[in-house]
Amino acid sequence: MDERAVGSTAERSLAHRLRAGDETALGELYDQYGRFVFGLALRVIGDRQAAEDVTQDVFVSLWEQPERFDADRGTLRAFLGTVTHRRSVDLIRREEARRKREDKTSTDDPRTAELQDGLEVEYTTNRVRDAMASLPSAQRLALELAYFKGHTYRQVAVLLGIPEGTAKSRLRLGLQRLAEILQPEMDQQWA
Amino acid sequence: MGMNPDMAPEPDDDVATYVLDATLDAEARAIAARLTTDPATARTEQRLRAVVAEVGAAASDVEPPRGLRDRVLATATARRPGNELIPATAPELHAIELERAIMVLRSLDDADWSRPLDPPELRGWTIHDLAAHIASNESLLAANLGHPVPGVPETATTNEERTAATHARHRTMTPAETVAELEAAVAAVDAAVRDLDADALTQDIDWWGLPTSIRTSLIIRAFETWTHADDIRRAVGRPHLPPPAPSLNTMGRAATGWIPLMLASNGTDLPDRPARVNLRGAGGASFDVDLSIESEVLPAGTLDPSVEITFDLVEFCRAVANRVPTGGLNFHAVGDLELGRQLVEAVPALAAL
Repeated sequence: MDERAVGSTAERSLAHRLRAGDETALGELYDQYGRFVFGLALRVIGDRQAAEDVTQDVFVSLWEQPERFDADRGTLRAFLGTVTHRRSVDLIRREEARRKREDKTSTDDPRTAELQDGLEVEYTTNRVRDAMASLPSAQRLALELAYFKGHTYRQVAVLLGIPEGTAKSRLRLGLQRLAEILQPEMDQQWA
Repeated sequence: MGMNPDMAPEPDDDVATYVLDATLDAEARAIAARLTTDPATARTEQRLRAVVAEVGAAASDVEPPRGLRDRVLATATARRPGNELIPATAPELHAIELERAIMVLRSLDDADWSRPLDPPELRGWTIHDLAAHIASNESLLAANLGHPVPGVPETATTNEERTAATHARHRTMTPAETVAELEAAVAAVDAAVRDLDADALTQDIDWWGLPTSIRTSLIIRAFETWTHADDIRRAVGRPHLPPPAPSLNTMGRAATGWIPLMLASNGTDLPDRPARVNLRGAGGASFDVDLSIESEVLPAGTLDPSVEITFDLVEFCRAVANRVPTGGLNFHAVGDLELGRQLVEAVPALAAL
């Protein structure tokens, strides 16, 4: 368990201070979650400069609109993870669209190579590593392609050679299984 | 023939793909609209987002480039200038420090609980003994606030007797049971003080035989708990972890107000000898205080100080808790240097009482 991830009272206090414009709160937020936000953006985008831009954008946007975080609806980590992932995915999809416009004759998706090379996602905590390892490999691969590579379920289906409905089911079953394994301790941490 | 579970579509398929940002744009808009009208789906979304964040955090722990923090803060404050720091209220301060202590206790392995502690007054204690002590004092505060914790049998109100009885009982308990008792005591205190206004916080309760305001009792508990949480961190080889800036500000102000008491405990009463105390670092502020026993803390600039003395705020607080070696508290004094020396020497006096 990460000791920095203090619980709901501290999060509510931090959110209150952000709304009040306390600059030290923004510094503390960055100190607690900067590694996560930058690391997630880097993993999804694969480019350090772009990951820096996303990181800056995530923290600055919360500072500008602190009311967007509602402590009753989830944790700061979940909120920042959602915003970071969304912005990272938007960026790579815009880049994909641009590439397709510029090279209309190409039908190759350069990211299909990742299936041959493997995703090589390393998990730093035992419980997440164990939880991911407990998933059927087809569910785990679908989840990692969608979350860490920013693929839509349609792209996941193409990459894995399965129907779109099957891709969606695998994503749902994988997430539900992870929730069953991880949720009890998360509830305890954030109660 | 049964259907392959991979193939069976379910309503939550859409929520799962949405949480993973794996939907198509038009579908995402439809799901977002559904979340605003369907509380059950919204709960599923929140639950899955927490799981996704847990997985993401475990795979994305990367040191950002040096300088990015400064750029983020500069850009943010250029777009929306910051305001003055808001000091934590005593109930907030108390709740946060107790929660931080519970987090460090929960993060320990079972073997860590039998590790020894290094402060001289805790010689012979293990981390488990100290956790029991924190729980015991918290349950005493709850009882004194009129919210006794069910299942806590100790009634002694002297520190030695209560601690001895608590240690004896908790040595038969598991770490998880000790943490659970601490959590119950924290919940009882929070329930008693959460909705109190500023006037109500000035009401006196008994604290180790002395009438003490609820506000001061909460601040003392926060101080003690931070100090002991750092004792535990040190015992397991971790660095100290200071409280957030608003908490430090509140504790720094309170500790400045205790300086006359510190001097009095050394036999010194210095009426009409004001001091200005500058506390530097996160949460820092400057205060004026007259060094007579009847004084109160005032904003800097209110009094004409005989001495102006500057400390690092965290180090000052740690010295007040007697966690800085004798002579080890760094300071810079201007004015009556002998008065400054007396003041600095008195800083750990309260903790030694």
